[in-house]
Amino acid sequence: MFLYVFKRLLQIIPLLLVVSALIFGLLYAMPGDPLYRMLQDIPRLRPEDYERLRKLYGFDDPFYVQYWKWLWQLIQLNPGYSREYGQPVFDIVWPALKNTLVLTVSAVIIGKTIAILLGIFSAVRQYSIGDYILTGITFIAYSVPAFWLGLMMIIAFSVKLGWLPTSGIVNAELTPGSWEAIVDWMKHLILPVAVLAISEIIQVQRFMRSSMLEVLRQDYLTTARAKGLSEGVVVGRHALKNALIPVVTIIAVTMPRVVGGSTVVETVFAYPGMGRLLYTSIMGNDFVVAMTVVMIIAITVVFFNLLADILYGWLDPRIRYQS
Amino acid sequence: MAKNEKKSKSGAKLTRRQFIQLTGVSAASASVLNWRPLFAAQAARKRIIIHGERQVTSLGYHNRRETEHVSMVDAGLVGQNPVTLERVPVLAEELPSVKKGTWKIDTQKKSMITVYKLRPGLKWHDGKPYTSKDFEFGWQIAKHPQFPMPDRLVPELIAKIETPDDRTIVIHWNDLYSEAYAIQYTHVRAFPRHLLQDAFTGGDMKAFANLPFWNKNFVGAGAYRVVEWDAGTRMELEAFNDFPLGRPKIDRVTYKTVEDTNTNLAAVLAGEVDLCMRSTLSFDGAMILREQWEKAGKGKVLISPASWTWLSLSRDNPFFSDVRVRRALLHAIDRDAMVQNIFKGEKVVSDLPLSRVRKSYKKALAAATTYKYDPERAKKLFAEAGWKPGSDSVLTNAKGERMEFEFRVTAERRDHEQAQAIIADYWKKIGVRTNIKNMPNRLLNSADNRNRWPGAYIGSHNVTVEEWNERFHSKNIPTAENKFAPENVSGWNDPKKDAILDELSSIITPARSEQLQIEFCKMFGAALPHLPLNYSPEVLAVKRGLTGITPRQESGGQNSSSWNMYQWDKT
Repeated sequence: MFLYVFKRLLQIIPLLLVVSALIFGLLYAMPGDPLYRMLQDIPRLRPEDYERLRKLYGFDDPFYVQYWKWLWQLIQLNPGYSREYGQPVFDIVWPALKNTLVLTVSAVIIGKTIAILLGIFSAVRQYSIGDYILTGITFIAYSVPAFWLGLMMIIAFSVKLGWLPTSGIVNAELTPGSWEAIVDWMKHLILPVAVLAISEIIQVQRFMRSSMLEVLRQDYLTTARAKGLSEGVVVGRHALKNALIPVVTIIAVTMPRVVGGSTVVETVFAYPGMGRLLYTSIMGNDFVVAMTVVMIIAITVVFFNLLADILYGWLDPRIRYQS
Repeated sequence: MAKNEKKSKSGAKLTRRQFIQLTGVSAASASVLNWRPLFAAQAARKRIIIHGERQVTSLGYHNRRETEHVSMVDAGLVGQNPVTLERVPVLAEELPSVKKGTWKIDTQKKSMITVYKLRPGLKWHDGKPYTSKDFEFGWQIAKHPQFPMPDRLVPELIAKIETPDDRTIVIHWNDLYSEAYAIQYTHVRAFPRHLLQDAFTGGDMKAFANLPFWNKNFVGAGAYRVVEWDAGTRMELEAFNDFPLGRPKIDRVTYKTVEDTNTNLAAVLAGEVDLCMRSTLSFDGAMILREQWEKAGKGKVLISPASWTWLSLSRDNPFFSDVRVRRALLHAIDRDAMVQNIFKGEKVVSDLPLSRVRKSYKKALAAATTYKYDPERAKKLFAEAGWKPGSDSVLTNAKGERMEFEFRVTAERRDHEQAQAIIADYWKKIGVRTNIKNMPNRLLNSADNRNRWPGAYIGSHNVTVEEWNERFHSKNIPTAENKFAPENVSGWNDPKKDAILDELSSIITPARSEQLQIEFCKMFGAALPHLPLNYSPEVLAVKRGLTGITPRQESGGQNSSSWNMYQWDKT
């Protein structure tokens, strides 16, 4: 097992290199001039100024030179400076990552817990009124775009009821660290967490239901019931672990979003997270920041895939890893 | 007594749970009581929240310069009232003038000297004195070849700066420059030498350009000082007690970047924001606010015709080389109806590349040829130019070419897309066919598309008189050699017009300047290099109680609605 994990970790290095080259290539090939915003804003920008700036920012270097410069800096764990903000990239990325983690981890924990519970309920009470209602709500919610849901929630809870703030993360009028500020911060989180949690519920609840239904039909559960075990023990202790195996894949696949954030939700709620940072850095041609964000997401994808494989072994004793 | 029980003063027994609850409630009450004086102290301070669409990247020279952000935290020698367009001294005591001998002009040698005197007792936000040497230092930064200052036209016009004392700045110009008496802070301004000198002389200009000074640790001389800066999301500002024009009336300002126009609209309706700056609200959003918010007395929606929207016809397409065709195309558009449709009654039709608040506007409008909606006249002009309706009613010339071309706007720019649909429909009625091909902003500005298109294009631009040279001078026609960077996209090439622009950029009296502006507008109306459509309205939403906000009447230059922030008040 240990050797298997070690080998997989080694395989990650070339994989990430290929991924980084591909993403850098895609950003490089993106249409548009990296300085187009400056050109638009400053009509007095002369051709010689334009050339000088391209040279200063290294945009006139060929692709492989730009890529190598970036990679070399990343290897040294110093991806350089953001062109937009003139700050070290990590100084820009870490606060955004921290904000996104707070947002998405809360949404994932709340969303997936509710989804698993609802999935179990729907499976155990298959074809009941509750199951039909849940299925109906899930399908409706599935077809609702996150930005629309976010706006509707803002209108309901901020504009009409005035209970929650519309956007942002802090109320600057409050003393940082005070209880009031903490409560206010949590209030700022409620709406974006709710929107993200709803999308988590929609995704996982259906999988959990079908997975649980499949397991509930297994012979060993009939045996357990025949032995006189209560339905709660049958479902909770014997069925749940096996039903969770396919759900783990779904959860692992969605986990990179925990780090990557949600561009749409973060933009609608003006939440300063990774999704919004990725969007603004791409739009502002701040490639160093965009690449760092994308690489963090790529590393998370690879890591969680590995974690999912390891979890299979733990959840399903039939799976054994050979080194 | 049981182990988990405690006795109260009255002798009643408390369980552990009751004890913990009582302690918790007491602690919370005590905390709330303690906070009261603090809240009271905070309530006495005036605070406002501003929403802006653009991120605060650099408060210095480089990157995208946002005049709105910069004029909150820094000041130049001279400012500009964005309503009257009048130049006003800010850190300088007065504007240099020929009469007083502080503006010396040598037309023979094409050189000038301007003398600025700083107000007494100027200070930086950190309390250190602001001196003439700081201005000279700012100029050295601006002209340094390794510093990513985008536009170095003005710094390069300056030959040298002398600082005979701490308050006097003597600028020697190596050419004639009409704006020398009112040097814009976006072009040259002072920076605190005591904070930056070592890093600047250190030689590593990349490190210098990336100093946290330029945003996070910015020290300026404006009405507000930066106390907190979160990359791209928020800026906290505190009133600067020593601002020379008077201490700002509002103590604290929170500037938040919120890009989504719907979120901004919701924030205004929810009463969370005191001021929504330009581009934060869509025009449709502004109309909703007028109905639901302004009528209820919750605030004011200010709409000002700030920039220009015009239709540019390709300079490379031979169809448009005949001025009669251009005139016919403009006659075919009912701009009043179009603007009524898009901007719901705002009177923003434009005929000239000139702001309505310019002194020359009325005379220029009277002198220039304007083009009213007249489809019959349009057909006649087309016929004169050799374009006659074919069997399918599309105009056709003697070579058998159909009047059909590509029509482009920036995708997702709603007002442009609406105008495009309306104009295409008007043109169709007179036999002109268009093929719509819209592109995102990024693609329009790619090397393949920048400043050129095969047919027609609708764009909005800053067109101040001071920028006419860039927009209309023949030397600024985009070509492959100059990488299509210059902005005379119509390719308008006329030596007479260039002579006017050259004179306008030179040293002239205000009266002569007005005369030249009228002359230029006459030429514009006759040659019609662009088809003027309308002024693009800029929307500000101001919550009730906030006073002193003046929406700018002309975009471009250093015009900014935050120019007089020290005068804003909250009642």
